[in-house]
Amino acid sequence: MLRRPFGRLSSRSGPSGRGVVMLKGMRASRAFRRSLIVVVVAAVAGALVRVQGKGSVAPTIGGWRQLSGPNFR
Amino acid sequence: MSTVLLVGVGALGARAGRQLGATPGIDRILVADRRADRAEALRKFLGAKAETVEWSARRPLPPGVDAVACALPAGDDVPLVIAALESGVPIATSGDNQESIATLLRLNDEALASGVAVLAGCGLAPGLSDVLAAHAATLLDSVDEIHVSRAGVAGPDSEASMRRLHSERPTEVIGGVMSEVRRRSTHELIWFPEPVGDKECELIGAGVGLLHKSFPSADRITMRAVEPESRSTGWFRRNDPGGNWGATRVEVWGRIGIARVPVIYGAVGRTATMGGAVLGVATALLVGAVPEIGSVQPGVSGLASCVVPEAFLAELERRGVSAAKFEGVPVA
Repeated sequence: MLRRPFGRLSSRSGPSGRGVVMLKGMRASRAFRRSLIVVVVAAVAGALVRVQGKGSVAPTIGGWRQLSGPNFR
Repeated sequence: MSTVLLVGVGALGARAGRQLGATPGIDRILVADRRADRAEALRKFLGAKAETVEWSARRPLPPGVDAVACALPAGDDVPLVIAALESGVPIATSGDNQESIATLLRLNDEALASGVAVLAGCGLAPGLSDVLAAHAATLLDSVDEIHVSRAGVAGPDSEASMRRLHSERPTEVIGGVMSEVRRRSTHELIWFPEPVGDKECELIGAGVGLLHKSFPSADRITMRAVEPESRSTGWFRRNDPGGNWGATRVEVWGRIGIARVPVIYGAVGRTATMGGAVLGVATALLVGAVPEIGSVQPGVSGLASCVVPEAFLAELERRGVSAAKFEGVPVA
């Protein structure tokens, strides 16, 4: 009984073995490039937020020190 | 020789009167209060320097007055400020009412035209908190945010004012613009200097306008305060709310170079004593009795605009009010 190829089987049953390897290589390199772009964009965004962002955290653990003159620092 | 008219001798006003009496350069203090017994008690305490006067806001100021110290309940200070403007006499007021401070700020043009200085919000917060904010700003290249918190009330009138502030819609500066905040859950746990410690504070609007005028570049300015205890627990409390501890905490965010850092200052003590000291010193500034603590210009302003913070804090320290700095590490 003939079945219509689908899913992973479809690609295997289509092109030749060498073509499959090339196709896989192209997909891998495309995925690699995409992930590289994502990493670079995330790094740039993170750096911007880190430098320009206002999300600093106020000191929460510590104590009060009485100020004294002349500078009261 | 300088003469000061002190109007309002409640918990804060009485302390302010004592501070004025202890200020060299102030030789005569006219004491006015709707309750003659309170005015008389302060006159007796101050001795030959003081005398009581019968005065109301409808009358012109007594002759020979060089400055007015107003410790009237919040909101009642506006008619007195108008009377002072008409008489050309500088005035310092301790009122912390959101609406009355806004009204005073609207009188700025009249004050400029008559060449009179009006120092508004000369109490604990606004008042001492403004000085601490100005002091923190001197450590920073630029100021982004100011968050002021306050605990404690000076007396029964101050307590009533604080209750009213908690029932009103607060204002805050968001994105550099004064905005009315919709009533929402704004509770935040604030750590004040001991012995006040941690208290839950709610957003109010008192003094935000004065800070906004003093720090126009700040993107965000908020004011929070501890809500007074419920009246139903009044039987279990001390009869003298003025004897209660009070504190203020001022958190100023800004930049040093490219780094964004906070500076946190605070003060703790008896609320009425601290507020009275601030009003007394501010009035002394108006008459030029302590010229090193700042210089006043005509117009309506808060203390942050006209004082030299270190000198003002030094003067307060001489009078028993000390500031503190929070030093710690951030824990995310």
